[in-house]
Amino acid sequence: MKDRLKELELLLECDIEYTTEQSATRRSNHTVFPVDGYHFIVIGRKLSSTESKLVRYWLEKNITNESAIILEEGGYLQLSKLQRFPLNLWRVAFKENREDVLAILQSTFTKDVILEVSQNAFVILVSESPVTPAEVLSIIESEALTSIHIITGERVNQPEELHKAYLQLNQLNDLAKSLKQHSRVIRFEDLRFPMLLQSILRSQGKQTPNIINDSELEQTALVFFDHNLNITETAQALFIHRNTLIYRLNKLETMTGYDIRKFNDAISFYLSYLMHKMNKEIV
Amino acid sequence: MAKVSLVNINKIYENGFHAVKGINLEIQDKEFMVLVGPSGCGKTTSLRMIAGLEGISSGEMIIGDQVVNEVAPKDRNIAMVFQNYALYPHMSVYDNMAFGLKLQKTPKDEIKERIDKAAKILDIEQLLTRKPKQLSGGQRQRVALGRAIVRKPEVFLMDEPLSNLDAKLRVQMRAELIKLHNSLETTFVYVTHDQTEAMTMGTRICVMNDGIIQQVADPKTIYNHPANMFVAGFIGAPQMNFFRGKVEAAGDGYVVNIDGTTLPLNQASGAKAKAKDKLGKELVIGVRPENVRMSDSGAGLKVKVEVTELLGSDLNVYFVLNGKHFIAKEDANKEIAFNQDLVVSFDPEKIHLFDPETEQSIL
Repeated sequence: MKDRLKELELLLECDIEYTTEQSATRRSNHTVFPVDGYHFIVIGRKLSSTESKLVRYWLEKNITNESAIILEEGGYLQLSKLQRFPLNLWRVAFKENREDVLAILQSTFTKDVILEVSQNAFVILVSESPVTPAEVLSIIESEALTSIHIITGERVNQPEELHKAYLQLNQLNDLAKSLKQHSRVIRFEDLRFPMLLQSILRSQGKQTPNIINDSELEQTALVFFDHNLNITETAQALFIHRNTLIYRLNKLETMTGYDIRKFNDAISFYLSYLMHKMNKEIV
Repeated sequence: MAKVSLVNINKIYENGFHAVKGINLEIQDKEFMVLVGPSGCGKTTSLRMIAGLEGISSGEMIIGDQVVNEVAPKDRNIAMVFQNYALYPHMSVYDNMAFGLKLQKTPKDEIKERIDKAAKILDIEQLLTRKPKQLSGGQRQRVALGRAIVRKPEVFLMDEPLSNLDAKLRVQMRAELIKLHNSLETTFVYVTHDQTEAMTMGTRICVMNDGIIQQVADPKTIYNHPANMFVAGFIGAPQMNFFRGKVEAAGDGYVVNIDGTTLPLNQASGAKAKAKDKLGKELVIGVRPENVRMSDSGAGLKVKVEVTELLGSDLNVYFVLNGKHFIAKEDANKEIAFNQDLVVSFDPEKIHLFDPETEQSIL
């Protein structure tokens, strides 16, 4: 306990005494916490309610590093010098060159907290990013010469949401995989709709609409959605003639009954497609 | 300086997707090799495998004389420039260029020497004290190139580095990159989906599709002698027209027959078709828009004009033949009207012939 007190002293920036004296409970202008039946810790100033919660949490949880802020449910209480909200969590996972990656992140996110969540991943509490995730990716890959993946989460408005937001990053990663999105940058904004659907499916049980069993048509439909149902752009992206694209869309309509050139059919098909994919994942 | 060899390289992702299918490519020392193809063709994956950012499923990657399959990216002596060329926003241009060298623990004097030299090459000496937000798009791109140059790599790897620039700046930077390649005398491997970039910048071009190399050759050869219909259609704007027809002997020479209309074909092409036993058989006849001749009368295919596009120096004429759409490039001064009936013929020396089954050139 005495070793750990140093951590708490640094956290609260004041002297802390570990004592058995019963008189400790009667000291004025101090805050006293019972540790067990015999010991007390005496903090050399009055604490705010958040700081008091933090100390109780610290006593219960044996927190050893800063990353508990997001790794544990009540870990946010460690954030005594809390940064600005709202913020976003960015998870940066890398293969090697940890020191270089950290140096780059510290130089880019000069005002944000960077937490180490594993040997190969940092989470950044980004309040206002000067660069986009894709730019961070290219800086790290070109400067630290290591492959990386970035997941950016939903907006976090208050400290209590931090742990949930951290768990959501893993969910986003799994969801992107199940939807065959292999981008090195995965953003909550792009998966907002599938996330919502996933939670509905999980709460309501499973249906399995058998939508499509043709990888070429599946890819065509996804690229068509990516290009906002624009025939010309989709044909260009797939490097096929627009007539070939129209032929494939007609074929999709014959197979599924959805003419995804029409907005309502596109929505219905996309929903069914997502449900199909997610049911597979849930099963 | 180094050459780069890809020997039977495969990349298969965890989900089974076969992104690169047994490619073989030798990039010569000091060469400017452009990998070009549509999105998803495997060009970026190939570049990332050269860098070591992507693992190799099978095959051998050789840089210089060393097999680098198991060599970490930072030990491959390469430098990368990406499309999203972000700079450290809080640092000066000098510090941005120095950052990578500091990570490598390069001595201060050497850092300064390398940055001064790179700044001179890129003509950004006067910008070294500025912050990124005080730079224009083109200047920022130069700084990003500077960051790569100061590493003194044996191979530069560039992944669509000009894609984020506007059209005018892109043309300007294209010329800058060619100059840079000439002055650095280093191997460049450059990925793009833009066939104009490929044609204008590459010493050689490697056209890829569906994880397979379609053709590797210098720009002229790629344009004039495409190996297959994919290359023929991908390289060149507007894209090559493809007609269905036959090659037939006619007297001492040869003709192409499209829907009963015959047009002359040069002797050499006809002879090759004959040697490959393709006379009288269904073929795909490829003609670039600039090799289509349009006239009011005479022998040829009777077509109807659909749309015309005046581009200043050229006039693109879209026409319909048997319900199919084609395009011709004409002189801008030619008067051609919407719905006009015209006769189309081809330059006999510039007709391409492809096997409709294999889509390979038979010339």
